[in-house]
Amino acid sequence: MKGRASRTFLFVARGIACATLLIATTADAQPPWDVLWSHGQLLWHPDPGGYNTNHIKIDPSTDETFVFIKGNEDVGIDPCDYSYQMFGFSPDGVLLYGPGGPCFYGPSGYQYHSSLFPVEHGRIDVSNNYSDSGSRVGIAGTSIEGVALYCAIGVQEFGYLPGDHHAMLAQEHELYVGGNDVNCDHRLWRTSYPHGLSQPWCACVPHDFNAFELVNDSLLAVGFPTVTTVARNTGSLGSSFQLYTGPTIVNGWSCLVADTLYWISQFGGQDLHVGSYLLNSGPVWEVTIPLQGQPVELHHDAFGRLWTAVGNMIVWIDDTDGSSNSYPFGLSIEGMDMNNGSLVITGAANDSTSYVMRALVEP
Amino acid sequence: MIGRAMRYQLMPLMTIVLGCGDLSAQVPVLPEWIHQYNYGALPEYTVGRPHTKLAFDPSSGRLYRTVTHVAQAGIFEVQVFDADGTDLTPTPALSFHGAYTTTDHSTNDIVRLSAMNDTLQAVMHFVSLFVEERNLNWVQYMALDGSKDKLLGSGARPMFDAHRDQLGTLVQLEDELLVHNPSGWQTTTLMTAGARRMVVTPDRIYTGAPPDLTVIDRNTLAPLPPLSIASSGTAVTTDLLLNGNVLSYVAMIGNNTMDLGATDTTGESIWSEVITLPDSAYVSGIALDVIGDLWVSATRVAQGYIYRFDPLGTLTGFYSLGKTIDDITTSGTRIFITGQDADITYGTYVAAFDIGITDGMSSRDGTRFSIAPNPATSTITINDIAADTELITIVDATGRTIKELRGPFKAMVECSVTDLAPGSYFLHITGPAEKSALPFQVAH
Repeated sequence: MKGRASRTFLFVARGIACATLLIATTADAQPPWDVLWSHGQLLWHPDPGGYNTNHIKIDPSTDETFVFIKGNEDVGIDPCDYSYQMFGFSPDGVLLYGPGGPCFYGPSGYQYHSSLFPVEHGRIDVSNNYSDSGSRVGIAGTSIEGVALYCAIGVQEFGYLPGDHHAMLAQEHELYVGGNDVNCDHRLWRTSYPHGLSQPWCACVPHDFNAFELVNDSLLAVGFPTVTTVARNTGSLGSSFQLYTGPTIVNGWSCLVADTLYWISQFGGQDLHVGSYLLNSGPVWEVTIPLQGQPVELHHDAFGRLWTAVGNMIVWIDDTDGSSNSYPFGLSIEGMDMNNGSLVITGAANDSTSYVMRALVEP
Repeated sequence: MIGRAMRYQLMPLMTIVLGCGDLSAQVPVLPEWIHQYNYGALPEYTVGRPHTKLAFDPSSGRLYRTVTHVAQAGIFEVQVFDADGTDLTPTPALSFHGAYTTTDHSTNDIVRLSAMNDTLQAVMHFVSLFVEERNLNWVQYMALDGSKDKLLGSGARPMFDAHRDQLGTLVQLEDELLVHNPSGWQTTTLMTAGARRMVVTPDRIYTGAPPDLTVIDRNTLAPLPPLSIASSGTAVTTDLLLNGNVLSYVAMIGNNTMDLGATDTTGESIWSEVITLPDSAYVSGIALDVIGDLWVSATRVAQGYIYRFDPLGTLTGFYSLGKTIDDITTSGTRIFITGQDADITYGTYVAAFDIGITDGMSSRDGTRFSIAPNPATSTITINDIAADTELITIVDATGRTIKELRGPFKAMVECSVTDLAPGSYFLHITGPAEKSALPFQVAH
């Protein structure tokens, strides 16, 4: 099988000099990864529904990898019937817990796990209720909404459809979560972890957003195409800017490197749509990549490359011009994370099992 | 951290009994060295799941042993010795870590241990005793400094063997051979029905099970004509070892029967035998010594057995031991065994025997002579020959005597090899108190 590489410049704006050539290339090469460890054929009966299946994160404090894999209804076979099996791996790939160990059970009826964010020695997660689109937020599985996220204006519901993800960011003891509630279609909550370290607030952002970035005293609520600046201390809304000109897209991801905001989404609901935006300046480059499907996160390595995945394609993108390569792996790539030069992925190895891989990204 | 086991003084308590069917001729054989350890506790002994494994690193001369650590579930302590038995285990101790266990329902085993260039390779099983789908299998590499290298896992698919070289890593599953490139990416899957062990050379992969061993081109991964070997039934396990162009095999057939023999790599059978093991015993390891003799260990609860065959398949020794023999390996001139020690509560042992145990003559001292050049094209020079040497013999890989030189000899002798076909040979030196051998290659 062959990987593909292509780029298509759509426009260049605001005085950033770069080429406008239309280039398409093809590459056979595997990603420049040195595989540190891998496990195949994990959990024989993953959920066949295709909603928010596998999630993977690296704990930045321990370098351990933890994975959520959704089990299906084969009661008595999967260790976590109807829920998520949690696996933990040491930095060198030895299984620390699971299978048969911890299960992630949301409240009754909350069957889909939609977002996961690693924090020191733990995780923050959001699970969805498929039936009524309600959601819950938990730190290491313990629910915290209703305590610190309460806006005193209606019922909290973070709900998105299965398959969507909530914008979430936890850093410097501040937790930000995006979602819907009955009084605001695009709610932004802030609280702290542990509780009580900072003042909680909630804000209503006038557009859809799927990612957050911290910039000094501000939080960027990154939508596609609209990005709004929010004051970290008060939640008051500031200025907005457009990443590109075009329709609103959901389920995008972003990645901030110094003052450059990289972003990825779908274009027209089909091809990947990727861009680079210099804060306080404007777009640098914007390309489409002829790969269909929703992207799986966006990460930046030390060698000037962006990493994402769509379908069963691992995709890496030159951060200077958007040219890209792709490589097929397994049946799907459903989760990706990066920490300190290591990249982890998980997904379906075949119709009935999952895989986990960790690799060191090389020049 | 791992607590170190209590070490006993060298105790010449263990005897191996030379049987050969004549009990009146039993001769106790003492090990050259033995270490016995009391671990305070050991898991309950289960047939087919040994607590100890051995690997000899021919590049460094070090012997490695792993022991299932009971106090810390899922940890395997690694001990290091030189061939003379000196304990070289570094501080802090080395260890492999198994998977998370729910003690009553799962366990970890090392099923295959090997070593090269002071890097250990462990093939490990995490076994859920009740739910097969939860099993995990992987191979991991660890250097003598304790640093871990790649870990490649096959999930619930049982893994039996692995091999790493400059082309990447080969992982042997039950019916598949997974080919990984040097960066760890799995690039190819080859079907290898019934395989348990493999032998890999720079240009060949030998794997599979009787009656047809699978042969694969190491570089192109193209299948080559299989090697047909004698078979008395479906193999449960198959062990393989290669010496020159001679492939030795031992297949456990079931009902305590093993098929074993040797074939050359062109497919010509050299010898084959069917041996009935004692009740409940199973093959726990095989080794090829420096003169091409095949050693097979078998074990059952509190009992171990060693079979020795010469290069033509003659059973030249059968030894019994009142301890399990979990594994067997060789430095060429010594045989090393390990297992659970019935003499000590919760005890394990590791012991070394000279390969001359059959006739009581030392072969280890023979390594003081040398052969150069190796490989040789026209002439070999044999240096440091003992003054009382009576006979020098060159034997090919199938055990046939090709040349004989009779003494007395000077300390250095030159011998033409232009009339020898390219391949592997052994040079034997025999004197009144010494019999020793070294391998060499002829390449014209």
